[in-house]
Amino acid sequence: MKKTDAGAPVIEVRSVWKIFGSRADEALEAIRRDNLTKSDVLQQFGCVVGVADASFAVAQGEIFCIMGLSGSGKSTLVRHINRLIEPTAGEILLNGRDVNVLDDEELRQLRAETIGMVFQNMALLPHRTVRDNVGFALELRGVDSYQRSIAADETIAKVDLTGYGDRYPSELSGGMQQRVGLARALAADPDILLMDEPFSALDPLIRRQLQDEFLALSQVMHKTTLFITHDLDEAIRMGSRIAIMKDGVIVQIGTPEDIVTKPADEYVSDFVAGISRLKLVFAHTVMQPLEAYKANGGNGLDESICPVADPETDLNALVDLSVDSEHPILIKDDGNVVGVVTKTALLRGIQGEP
Amino acid sequence: MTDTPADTELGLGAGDISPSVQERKLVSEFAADKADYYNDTFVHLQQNRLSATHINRSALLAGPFWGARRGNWTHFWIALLLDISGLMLIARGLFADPDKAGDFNLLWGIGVFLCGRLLTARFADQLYYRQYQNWRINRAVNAGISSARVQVALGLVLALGPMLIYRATQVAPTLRECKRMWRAMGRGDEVGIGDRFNCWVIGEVPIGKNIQQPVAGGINDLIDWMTVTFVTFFDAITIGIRAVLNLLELVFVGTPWPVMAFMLVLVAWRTAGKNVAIFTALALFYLGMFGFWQKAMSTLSLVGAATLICVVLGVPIGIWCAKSPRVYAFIRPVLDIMQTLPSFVYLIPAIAFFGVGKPPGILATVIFALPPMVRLTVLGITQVPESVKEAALAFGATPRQLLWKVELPLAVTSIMTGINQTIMMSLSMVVVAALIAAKGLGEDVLFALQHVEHGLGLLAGAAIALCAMIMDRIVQGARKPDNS
Repeated sequence: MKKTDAGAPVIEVRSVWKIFGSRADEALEAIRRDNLTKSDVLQQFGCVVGVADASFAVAQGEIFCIMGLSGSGKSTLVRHINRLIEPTAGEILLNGRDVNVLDDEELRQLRAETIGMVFQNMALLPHRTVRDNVGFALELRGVDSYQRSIAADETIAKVDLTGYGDRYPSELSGGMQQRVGLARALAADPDILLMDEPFSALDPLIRRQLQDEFLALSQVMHKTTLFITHDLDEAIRMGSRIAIMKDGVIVQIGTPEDIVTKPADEYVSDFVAGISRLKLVFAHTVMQPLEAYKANGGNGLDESICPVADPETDLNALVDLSVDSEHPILIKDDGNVVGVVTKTALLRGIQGEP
Repeated sequence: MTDTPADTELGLGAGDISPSVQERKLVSEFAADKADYYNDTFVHLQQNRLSATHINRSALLAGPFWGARRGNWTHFWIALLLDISGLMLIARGLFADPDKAGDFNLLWGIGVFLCGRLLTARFADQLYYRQYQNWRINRAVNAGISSARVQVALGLVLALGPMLIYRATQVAPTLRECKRMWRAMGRGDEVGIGDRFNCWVIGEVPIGKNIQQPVAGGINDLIDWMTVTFVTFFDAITIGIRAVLNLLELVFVGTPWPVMAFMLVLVAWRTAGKNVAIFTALALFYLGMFGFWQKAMSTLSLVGAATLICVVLGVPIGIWCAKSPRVYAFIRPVLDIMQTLPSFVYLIPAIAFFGVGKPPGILATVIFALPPMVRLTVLGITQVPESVKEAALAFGATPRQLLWKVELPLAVTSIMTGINQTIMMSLSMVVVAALIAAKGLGEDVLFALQHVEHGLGLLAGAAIALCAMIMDRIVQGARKPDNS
């Protein structure tokens, strides 16, 4: 795995447009000139806007989620990263290198060595055993069969499928098949993982289990991951940051807490309405600064009897502290009390209202 | 248009119309005339309660004109066809051959006419109901009644009917008779108007062979020219085919029968199991007992050579077609022609370019048996899921790797089916190829046909069928382990 500077993004997408149709270039020009809407473009040019002016950057080791409903363009966007789809306009930089100027050979090399991809429908090769599926990327790179099977077996062990190497995919359950898909993406030890709704086709229990396992793996492997999902819960569980897409446009990018506490528009706030905030919102968001608390005539702040927490404590932990005590919770940063969380503030914080 | 008062009332208070009332209103709008009858009939149809003897009386009386008036042209054409057929038979019975055959035609004609009327009247309402459903989807569909349509129908009947019925009473003149008549006219003899009309309209289109002969002659010249000009090319093909055939004949014919029989049974057993092995042994026993062994082996090598050539040509062509829709658009009609042309027609250029013997026989067989190979290869490659191909590309597959490691392995079932089809079609060409001295079992069938040897012909036919079954079972058996 190549090491990159912590600061420089591994994936950088700069105002990427994708318009499907034979008159895509004309349509793009018209959109830029006249500010046309999606349906105008369809009517006037017969073109479909897949992705509109998308920009984001993903840092080394980050799990970046792109969340959107079907047809929002998220799968189209992710296919630009390994150029399965060519953008109509815009740039995609991987480790500072523009993907769109690569020739065929360089592109194949990039796909084989730098990027691993996992698909919603697994897309395993039915005529190959699990081991040969996992070793597929290595095989395409011309790695000999001896080294290939060593590497494949190691990866199979990582995804907990030891002993299944000689089975065919059709003999495995859906969850196990997707582990094979994940192992196939990891076998060539790529820097970047593209995960296109990898767990969407699985039942909820298996999905949860695979999410946890992937997070655990990811802690160890530090792959820069682009994770596509239509499920906000999943995005929040998996993502260090989340981009929300609607009709090809990225509506908001932020940490799960940002998304939940400061939704950019009505669309996002509708989405987050039903989300539990217990593990997403932290003390620093719900606390009242110490001065404000005192100014409102608050008192009774005795450090010996009040529970104490730091600003990064989530609401769930604050609730645990609060039920054992009649007193407000003191929030301490670097040994100084910086704020107070009263029961009212805590309950309102859980509700999501100020 | 007979809008009942109730309909108009309901039209005003559209808010609280019950579905069945609204339906009645629609049917009334659609049928215009006799709305009550069609309302009841359609309801009975929907309830599956239409009695078996239900008849639309207007359709029974008016025949095709009912369909025309209601805008149901399906009914019109079917009823017209049956009516005119009946009338033509009646006319022939009355005027053309007034004897026993005439009585038969007369009765048969009356029967056709009456049964046709009853049948079309029986199903008129079903057809009309379907028209109503189409009309509900698309208001451009004919509805209501129209006298303009009746006039069109009348025009058609007047234009077609008399001529068709007249034709039924006449015996068609041959081309030779007409030529004689035209010569007589040229001499200035009086010729009846009826005879002249018959020569122009009844019988062959009055062009004669004026076009056919020169075109056929041109093709003759072209084939002669090609035979001379491309002699080396055709010879090269002959040599290629003969090389393949000699190899296979060495295996099949050149091996002593005990060894060959043992090998075939062994292969059947290893690839397809015990039952097929027993079947193969019995079939080979039949071939040996009735003295077909040498010829059967010769047939197998012919079929083997044809199949081999089909695979070598068909799979790459199929891959090319699967990759390029434009190429397939060009190849597809060629395949259609290859499959539909009567197989005897292949023999004509085969003889012209390659003479008689086994190579042209194999070539004709290849032309006949190649299409399924190409088609099933195309099918196999195109049905590889896009998602799997995308995954392979995402891991950096080159087009060549995509073909060899993904597409062909996933298409193999389909390709094996193609090989199976090719073998079967090759065997069915064996008799035809025997016409140009391709030898083998077909020769015996041909001999039996020419010398009225029924017994020999049937025995040899059964031998061909057994050869086909042996090859089919072995190939199908070989294909199964790959699938699991």
